[in-house]
Amino acid sequence: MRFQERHPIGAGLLALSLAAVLWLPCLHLLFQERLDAFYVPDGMAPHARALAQRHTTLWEDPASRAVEIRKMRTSNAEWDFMGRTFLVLAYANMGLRKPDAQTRYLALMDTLIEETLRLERAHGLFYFLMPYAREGTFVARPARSLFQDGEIALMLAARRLVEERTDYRPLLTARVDAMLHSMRQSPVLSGESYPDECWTFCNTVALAALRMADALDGTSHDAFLKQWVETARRRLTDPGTGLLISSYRIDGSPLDGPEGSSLWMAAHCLQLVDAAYAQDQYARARRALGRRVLGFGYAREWPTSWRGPADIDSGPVVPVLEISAGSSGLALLGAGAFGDRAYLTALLTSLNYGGFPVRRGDTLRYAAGNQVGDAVLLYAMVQGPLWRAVRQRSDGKKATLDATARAERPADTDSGKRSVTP
Amino acid sequence: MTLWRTARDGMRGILSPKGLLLRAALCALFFVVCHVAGLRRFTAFLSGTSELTGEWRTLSALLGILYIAAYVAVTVVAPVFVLAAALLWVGSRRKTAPPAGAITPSSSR
Repeated sequence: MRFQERHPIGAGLLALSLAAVLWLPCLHLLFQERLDAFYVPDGMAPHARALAQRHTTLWEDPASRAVEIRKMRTSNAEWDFMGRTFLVLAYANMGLRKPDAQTRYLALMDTLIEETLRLERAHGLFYFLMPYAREGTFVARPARSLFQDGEIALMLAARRLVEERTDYRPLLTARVDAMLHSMRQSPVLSGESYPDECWTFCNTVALAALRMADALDGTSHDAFLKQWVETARRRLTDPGTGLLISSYRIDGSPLDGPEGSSLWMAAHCLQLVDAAYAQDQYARARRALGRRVLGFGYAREWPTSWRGPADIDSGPVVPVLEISAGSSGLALLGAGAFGDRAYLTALLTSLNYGGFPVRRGDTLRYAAGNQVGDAVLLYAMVQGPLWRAVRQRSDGKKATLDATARAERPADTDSGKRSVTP
Repeated sequence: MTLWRTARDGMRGILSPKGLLLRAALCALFFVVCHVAGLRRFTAFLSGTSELTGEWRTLSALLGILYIAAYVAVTVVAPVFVLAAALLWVGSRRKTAPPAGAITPSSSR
């Protein structure tokens, strides 16, 4: 008698094992798409267009928008705010990618910015913060949240970079002054997002906004930015991984270790501040948090060397593999911003598999996400032109300053020397 | 002993090609029912968002988990069952076909 006849159960289990070994490495091929379906250097990729269309429809229809915002605010009021920021950044990039549609994107950006400012004025500091913000006292004076100031400054600057709006200039200047005033009160040059709670995510967003303001208005905060990076290397870095810690007190004492849902965006913002440092942070985050299993990419929330609690930004964490929805979504932004094509492809494969895309007409959304998650994805799919525009303006201004300085310097010739000697 | 024999016979049935194919079909049916019922939207719990409010939030998450279970069943479990059934079937076909040159009752006359 053959093995299968003698041991039918054993044969069955062996067949199942072999089938799993054959099938599991192939599964990702069903969900893998070409990268240019999601991201292209110029123009708009098809999925980006469809995702944008859904957001545009949402923001042009107040009733649908209200439903989505209510769902998010039930979990976390911050997401309502951050969804706006990422959408404004996305529209800014889209406006630079597609100049023929710029007018529409500018109008949407203005709607988002003006409504955000109106809500802030009407409801005060705590409207976009989680309830625990009311339980403590901000240390810096006056009490301000860098989370809000930084992202509003970023939105205003992004809008002005696409097309100037002179009435936004004093608003941006006021935010920049407020941010610097708060950050300089801290020995680690950091502003609070919550009472005595500073977040790397929020501080690096603020730094990016400072760089954008410099590019727009000809100011220079180079010394401050350099000092922030030096301080962060010394005081805000996890010794085990070399990664920035995610949250800390205003005096610099750590609250949490390096957290994925903060780090990918922090590295992206630092690209405008210190490109080499940003690249280093991304490479470290990729090693400590980025994973690829059987063709699917994902990100951990914490490195293996750190045991930290999941917070609301982490999203649910799948045990054993430690897959974090929040970190994985933002890892898409990191991988795209740093040109990590292999990891980006693996992450997008996971998005196709576990994001549960829903296509209706020419729109796309991800059922496993929410408005802010989709806004982050859209931004990840269109980012690039805005950061390039900031660098070009900064480099252009620097070249002008250098040329001016050279022109004003006395000529180093014999005639020049003769002119200064008695 | 009877219980053991019953369990063993049950396992034999499940792990037969027909049994595996039947279970793969059940996985597919489970997924189709969940998908047509619109449970996909409840997967929003993965991002900490609920489609339902108040005391229905737990139900929303449970429906999302049910959809994910059906999805994994149809994308991972069912194909493995089908492949395993195919492997068993190929294995049984090879074993029942007589080797070339073998003397069979009809060829011996």
